[in-house]
Amino acid sequence: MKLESLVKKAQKGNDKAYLMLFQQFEEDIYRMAYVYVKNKDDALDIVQEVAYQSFKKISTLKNPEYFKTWLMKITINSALNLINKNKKVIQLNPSFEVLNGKEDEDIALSLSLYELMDTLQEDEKSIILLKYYDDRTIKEISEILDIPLGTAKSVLYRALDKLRQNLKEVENYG
Amino acid sequence: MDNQFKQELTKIEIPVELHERSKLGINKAKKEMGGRATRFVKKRLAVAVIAACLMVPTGAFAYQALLADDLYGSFDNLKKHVASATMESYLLFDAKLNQASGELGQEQFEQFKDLLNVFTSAKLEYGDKNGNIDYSQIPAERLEEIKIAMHEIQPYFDKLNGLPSSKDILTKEEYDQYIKALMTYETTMAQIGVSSAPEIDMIPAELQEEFIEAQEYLNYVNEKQIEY
Repeated sequence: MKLESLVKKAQKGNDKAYLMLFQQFEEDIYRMAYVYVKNKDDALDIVQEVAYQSFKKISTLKNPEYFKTWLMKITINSALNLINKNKKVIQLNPSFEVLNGKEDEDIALSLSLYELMDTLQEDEKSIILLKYYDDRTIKEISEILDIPLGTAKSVLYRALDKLRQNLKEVENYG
Repeated sequence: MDNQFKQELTKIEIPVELHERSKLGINKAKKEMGGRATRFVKKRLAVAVIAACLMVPTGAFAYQALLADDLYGSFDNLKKHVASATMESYLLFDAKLNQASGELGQEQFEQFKDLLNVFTSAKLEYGDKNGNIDYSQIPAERLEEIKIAMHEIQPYFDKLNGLPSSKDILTKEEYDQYIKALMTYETTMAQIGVSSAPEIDMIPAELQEEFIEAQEYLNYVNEKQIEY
């Protein structure tokens, strides 16, 4: 079924239609979330939260064409919210959190993905994800994130610089 | 860079429970949105539910001030008990009661008056400042008495709300469940101390499920009444 008709059905409150629609994006959402929070449990929480929030507000989406953009925006906001919330908690007992946070499956991730996740700040991650994972133009990114075009550009270059720097270091040690 | 980046991200394994979590989120939203209800229906539901829950205290109050002064004494005395009974709702329910006496006929009205009496005493005895009763705190025999009166009186409330009688359009089991849902709804409102339908996040987690269930059922009955 076409995206547009699924959106319309979902807007009338049809949860089955919305599940079909959401399913098409859940892996993207999960991976994006993972880049921010760096662990499976939090990333899954974000997916659930995005599913919840987006279906609740689907009637406010005027143009079905922008569904994916809208979803990505909710994803980024949910991830940032969770990070802010966790910051307050984690600082109470950092060593314990670190031990618990890294599970076996995380270790399977390549170093460079870790580098990426650990090196970049949240705002840089948002832009890198939208640009290279979601194939957005800088102009679209500035609209999605509600920031001036110039800011979007400078954050992107800063992020790319950091990644290049990192790549060099890795090569040097390798 | 482009492809490399995407490739890196695909290294993030997709957990098996991912789809389940999407479902959970959507289901939670659906519950809170109240089923298939459109905005129009929901608005009518809000009116119906508030009327069903709040009409009891305020109705009782208007009724007594207007028609049966000997039951509880003065307006002010009752107002002390039911703080949410404002002048506005007083007038509103005065009108409703006039309508009741006109529409119901003398005999029915007398019956309505008797049933309402059970409520007014229960409300004064057990109601919080908004006139809501936490039914879980009421002694068993009193509860039984109130429950029976509620079964009897709900069709009158339906009539005053301009809806077909819930007792007529539901099966006996459904009607029992409907009354139970109304009581759960009111109990929750009493437990968190609000005077109108609460937002879901105001409700303590352990009460949420029961409340949502009750709300869904009220929704269902309301839709049925509207469509009837």
